[in-house]
Amino acid sequence: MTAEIHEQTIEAPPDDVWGFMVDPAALSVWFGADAWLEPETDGRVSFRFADGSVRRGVVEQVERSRRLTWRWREHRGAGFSLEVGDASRVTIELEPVADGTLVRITETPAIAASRGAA
Amino acid sequence: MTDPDPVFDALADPTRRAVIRALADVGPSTLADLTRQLPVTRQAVAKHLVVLQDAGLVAGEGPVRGRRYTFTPQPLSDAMSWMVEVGAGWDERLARLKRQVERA
Repeated sequence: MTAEIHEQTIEAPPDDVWGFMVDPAALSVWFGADAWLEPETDGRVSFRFADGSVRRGVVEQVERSRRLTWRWREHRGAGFSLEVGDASRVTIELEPVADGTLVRITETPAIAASRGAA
Repeated sequence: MTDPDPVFDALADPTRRAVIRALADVGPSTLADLTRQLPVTRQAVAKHLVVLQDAGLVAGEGPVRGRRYTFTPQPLSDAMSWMVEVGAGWDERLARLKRQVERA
């Protein structure tokens, strides 16, 4: 997987947009998954998608209204048939711009270098 | 997951969708059964059955004469998973976030 960068300008201040990152109900809606996120370092993240797959991981960095980073990997199936995908890191950055907030989401492969397994 | 292309190709034709619908509704059927239910010729139904079998959506069992065809839905689930994945891409998420925030 190579780095994926996605951007969107939203007509609202970063503080408002931030609320949609850290509230699990709001996050679930825009993510299109049943989401759980503890907005603190080492907090848990978990997303259950409509196709039954689950992505779980840990929060790595929280800078209120500016940046949220987590590591996650896919868990598909259960018990002996459990398949675990490669870990990747998701960074969401909020940057104040003239007409609101530029939201930048970057997903990059997370190689062994970072601490602890997600 | 199987390649979704043959599935989407197979589903792109209304008669083939009607064949799937008929098999899903009434269960295993012969070519003659299907021809009675559909407004196309026996030859046309036979041709569509080949495409559907190649896509893995239909399985034929028994000797050629009186062969029974069954709807096998697994490739459809795979194709749906593919659509869910695409719909859950980052750009779609950001677009939903924008609508959600700006509506608030």
